[in-house]
Amino acid sequence: MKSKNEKPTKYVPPKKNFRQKMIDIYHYRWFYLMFLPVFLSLLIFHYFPIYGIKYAFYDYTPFKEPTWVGWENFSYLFSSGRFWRAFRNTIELSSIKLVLGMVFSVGLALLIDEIRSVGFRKVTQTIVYIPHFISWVVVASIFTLFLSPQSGMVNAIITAFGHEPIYFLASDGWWRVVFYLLNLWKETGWGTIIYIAALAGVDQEMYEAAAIDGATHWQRVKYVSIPAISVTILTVFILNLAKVLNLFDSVFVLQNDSVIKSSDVIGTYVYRMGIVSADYGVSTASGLFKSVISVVLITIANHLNKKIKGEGILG
Amino acid sequence: MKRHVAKKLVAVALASAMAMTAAGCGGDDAAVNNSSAESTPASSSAAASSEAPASSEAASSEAPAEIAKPDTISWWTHDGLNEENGAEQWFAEFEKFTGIHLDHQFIPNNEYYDKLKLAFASHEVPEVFDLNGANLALYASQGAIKDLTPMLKSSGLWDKVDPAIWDAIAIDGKVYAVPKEVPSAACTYVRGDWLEQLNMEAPKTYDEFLEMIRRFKAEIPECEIGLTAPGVKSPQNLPEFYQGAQYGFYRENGEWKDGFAQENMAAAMQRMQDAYKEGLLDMEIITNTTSTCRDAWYEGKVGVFNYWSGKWGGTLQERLEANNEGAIALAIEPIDGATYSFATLSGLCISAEVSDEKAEQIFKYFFEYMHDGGEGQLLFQSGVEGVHWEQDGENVKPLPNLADPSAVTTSVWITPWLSITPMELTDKKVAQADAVVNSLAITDAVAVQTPITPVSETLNKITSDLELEKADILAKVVMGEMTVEQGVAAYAEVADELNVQKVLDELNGK
Repeated sequence: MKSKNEKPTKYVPPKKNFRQKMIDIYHYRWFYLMFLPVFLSLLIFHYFPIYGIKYAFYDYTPFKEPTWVGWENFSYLFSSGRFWRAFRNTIELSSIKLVLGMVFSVGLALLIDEIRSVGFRKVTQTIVYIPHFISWVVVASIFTLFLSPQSGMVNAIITAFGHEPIYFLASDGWWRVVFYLLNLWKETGWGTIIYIAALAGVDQEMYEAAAIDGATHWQRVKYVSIPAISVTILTVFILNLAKVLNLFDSVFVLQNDSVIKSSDVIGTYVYRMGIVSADYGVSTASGLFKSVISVVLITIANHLNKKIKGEGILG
Repeated sequence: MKRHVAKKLVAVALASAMAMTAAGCGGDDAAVNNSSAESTPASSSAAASSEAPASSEAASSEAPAEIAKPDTISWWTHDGLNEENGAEQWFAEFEKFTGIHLDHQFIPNNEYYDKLKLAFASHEVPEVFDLNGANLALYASQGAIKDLTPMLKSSGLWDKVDPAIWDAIAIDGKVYAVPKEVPSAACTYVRGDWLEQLNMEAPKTYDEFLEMIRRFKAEIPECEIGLTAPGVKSPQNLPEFYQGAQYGFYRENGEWKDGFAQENMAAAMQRMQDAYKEGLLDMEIITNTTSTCRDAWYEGKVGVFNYWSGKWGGTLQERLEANNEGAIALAIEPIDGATYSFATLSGLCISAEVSDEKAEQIFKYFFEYMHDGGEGQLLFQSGVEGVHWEQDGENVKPLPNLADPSAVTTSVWITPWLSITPMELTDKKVAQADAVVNSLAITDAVAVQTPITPVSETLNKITSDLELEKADILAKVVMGEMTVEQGVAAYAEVADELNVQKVLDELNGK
């Protein structure tokens, strides 16, 4: 009999030769058939386009044959203050968005977990998920109206209290606040799903034991719920860290001339260079740079996950 | 056993469903291609040709023997007739008249130039597409479009069109695009009924113009916004404030200059800053879009709005009056110093990937046909008889729009009163509303042509960054976050860093 402190041994599958592997594939052939369309779509839409990264090393516009320029596009990028400004904006906007998103999602999940009526809980969950399904274009249009300094609801309240209206979307400082709030409004509900699932898995006996020990409601949350889902919180945080540079839609739809410098991120920089200037070489180079940084972040995330959970996200 | 069979069937069904879903991603394009890629069989083409009216026959008999009629022409559009308003009937009519199948794709306007560039990158370019002034020089300089000058000069079209139009669209003496129509010009509309209420005349000077807006704001309770515009970057939208200054590069006495660096631009910035500070300009001018400006005008809360003349003049009046009884959208003549300008000419181009022989065919049987002053022009202007228009005496009477019966279809591809060639059919006149005629009369008399946007290697490289910096500086100056002097200094720094002088040298051939 194993003692309770003994570490579980990891299952190591027996090694198989090529013939045995083929037999396995044949055995599970219908599953492979099911997987085939997904595999093909991955190849066509995700892997084959990787071939295009070669244009990062070419002077390439859509109208003429590409010319090899080596590292020139990267040299142009790295010497451009605008590129580094976009990089800095991306890191700032994404990082704050990430932390706020995590804090509010966990908080909302804990609140939803406290709801005892199943019906009310389901309705609440459905309502908080809805904003996630609204496109950023629609969200931007709605909030532009709400935040209008002349006819918006928010400024109507501000002026009712005797203050001057605020042009939220055209002020550098306020624009960022609005950006974070809109992201919270849109994605917090969706972000709760995984935490609610994790909370559902917490052993109820722990709450009962805490109650018997005289723990207050808040103490049960603080000493039982949060520690119980802490590994989930960390895993989600690390996974999101890898996506920190993927910022485009939410910024692009809210941009305007007055805040264009403080809201220019790598995604919009790539768009401007590629679509506005038709300079596909520089645009691809900046996209490639973003991908390399993302790979580094994913590797770090994987390493951290290994340290925390004993196994990595990537295996 | 049965369980295995069921598993297999489920697997196959799921795999098929996923494959179908994946294929569905490109459904729209595929549908368009399928419908449009059906080549016209030779027999039906011949039959259609034989059914073509006399004018087509005549045109064919005048054509040089070596220019054969093409079976198919591929054409991309992003404006004009859409599917809901009888596009299918129009293409069928075109094929019936000419025997040519148009392989047409409608691209949403906001995606058009992105998709066109991608089409070039993937060598799947349509044979015919249109380019606006901002793109024409770029595509021409990259050798992406055919030089149409030889075809144009050997055709009847050259002499039928006002030479000023060929001058305006030519790049270094070569014509790469044939305009579908004369460009629209913008003029300033003011609330004529408010002027009457205040017993005021239309303003003639800048001071009178500002005074008018002040009084609108102060004395007309409905006037919430003095003057609205979609942004502050366009001299065309704010002619009273720009007063001849240019936001971009412009040509003067044969020499290209950087408009943003000129003294008159600093003066324009000062005027905008002062007016914004005083509350005469729309507080949300920076984040406005064209549609939000139009909506505010229709609601009746705007005093002044600069917009297209002609057809839009009619629409601005109709929609304003619908919401505000007795309201008048009065097009005014430009105040002293202000300049109304036409939009940059845009035109139909032929891809450089098309063979010379096919290009000649397209020019002859498509470009010339749409400006023939007869059957072809009528088809491109007013559409299909019985679907888009009907005969009413000697006039073409537009029929209710198929998609929106509350409106009528006044034009399909070419606006009748903006055609570059005169209509020769005497029983196909087009009646126009007063609001259309009035605004057109003003802009036709005073508006100036906007030259094609220039292009140079360095400019291509810096365009995106330069535009970003200029937009930022101008917005901050207008909103008072920067003084005009600071704005001028900031731009001088940007221009130096981005080497704008090199752009000017390249444009001026130095």
